[in-house]
Amino acid sequence: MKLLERLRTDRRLSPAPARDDQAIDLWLEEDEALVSRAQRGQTRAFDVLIERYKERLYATVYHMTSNREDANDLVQDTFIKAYKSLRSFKGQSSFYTWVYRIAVNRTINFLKRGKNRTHHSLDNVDDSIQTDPDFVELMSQDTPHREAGLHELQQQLNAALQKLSDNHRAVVVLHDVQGMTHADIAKAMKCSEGTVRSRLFYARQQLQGLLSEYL
Amino acid sequence: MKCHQVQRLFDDLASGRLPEPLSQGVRQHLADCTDCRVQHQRMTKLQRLLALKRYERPAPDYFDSFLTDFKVRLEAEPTRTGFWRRAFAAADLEPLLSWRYGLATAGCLIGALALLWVGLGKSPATGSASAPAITVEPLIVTVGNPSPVSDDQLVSPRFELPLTHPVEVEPTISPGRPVLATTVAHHVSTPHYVLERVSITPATYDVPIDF
Repeated sequence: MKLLERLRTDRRLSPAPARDDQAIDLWLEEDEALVSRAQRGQTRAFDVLIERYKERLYATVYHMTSNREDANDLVQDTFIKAYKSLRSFKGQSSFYTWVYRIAVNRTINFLKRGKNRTHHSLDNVDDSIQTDPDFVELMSQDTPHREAGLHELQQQLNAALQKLSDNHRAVVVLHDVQGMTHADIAKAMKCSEGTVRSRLFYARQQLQGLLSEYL
Repeated sequence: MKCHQVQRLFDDLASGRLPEPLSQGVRQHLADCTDCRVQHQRMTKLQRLLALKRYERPAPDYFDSFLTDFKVRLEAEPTRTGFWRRAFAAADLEPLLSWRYGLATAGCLIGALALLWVGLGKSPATGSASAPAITVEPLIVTVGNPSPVSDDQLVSPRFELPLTHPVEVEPTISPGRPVLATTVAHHVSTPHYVLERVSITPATYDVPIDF
């Protein structure tokens, strides 16, 4: 509802103020219809697609880069690329899968170029983690890290992920953090499911060594 | 089932995607195999640990300007196109494009004629007029010792070369010692090499060779 309110009130997004009911109608439409509208030149339809998926894309890219600024830039680049290539989108996959693939590939290429910022700028951790059963169990264990707390855990997790290769990190993030299936990851990364499983296996082996204090 | 097969199925077991008979087989293997059971526990813990990253979120107002920034960057994008694209975009190529098939055919014909012309006009190579810069004619002279000469017994005479004129080198002959006499015609000032006991040593014109 917050987004609907924003769509109603935000006049900066379009040269001409749109009618409220039109914005709401757009927001209620399916992705396919919005893509079709955007392909016909209705930029407001693409705005709705951005609003719909920006946070999910940001989360994926952020987990791969461990840097907020890089993640923000890459998601912007992803939507720009998607907007420019929209005419070539034939609907063979969902819009989200398509744009997800663009984001993952751009992030991997970005990391390979080595232009990523070397320091980590981490997001805040939501307070609701304190009620997560896994977190509660982890903190209740008698380990040296019990007193260290949440911040160190976050640092350790991000540092361990950054030690993986780009492809291994992408697979782990997409599967274990984002909860995607092997098949969807294979589509997003344009490789076979067997490759995804293999990368996942070796990445976890490495992570088990890096995070052995928590396991 | 083997351990490595079972370990590859942990994800499918957790997500419930395995068919029931296979799922039972994996569970049975985990009950029987300590290594796989420990591995399964560690992997499950790792997945739960990584899942905690989902609680990392940007500040609530982080995306407030996202759409505006996107539009600003999108408007700035066309200026990043390459030089040739911009150059051709500025030119009005419509009249030329209407003649594109004729122009392409004419271009192919001109190219073919040019290749034919070059091919017919090219004469066979007449050879190079340049001659070798240094001519060395080895001559083995044996004095007072009729025994056969081996390679490592060959020595070169002491001589100094002028820079631009041919020179005849007279060998210094010691009784009982085989000598390699060399006639050198020297035309250019490139350095040359003298065989000295099987190893090749560069000779300069400034320093005489001692042996």
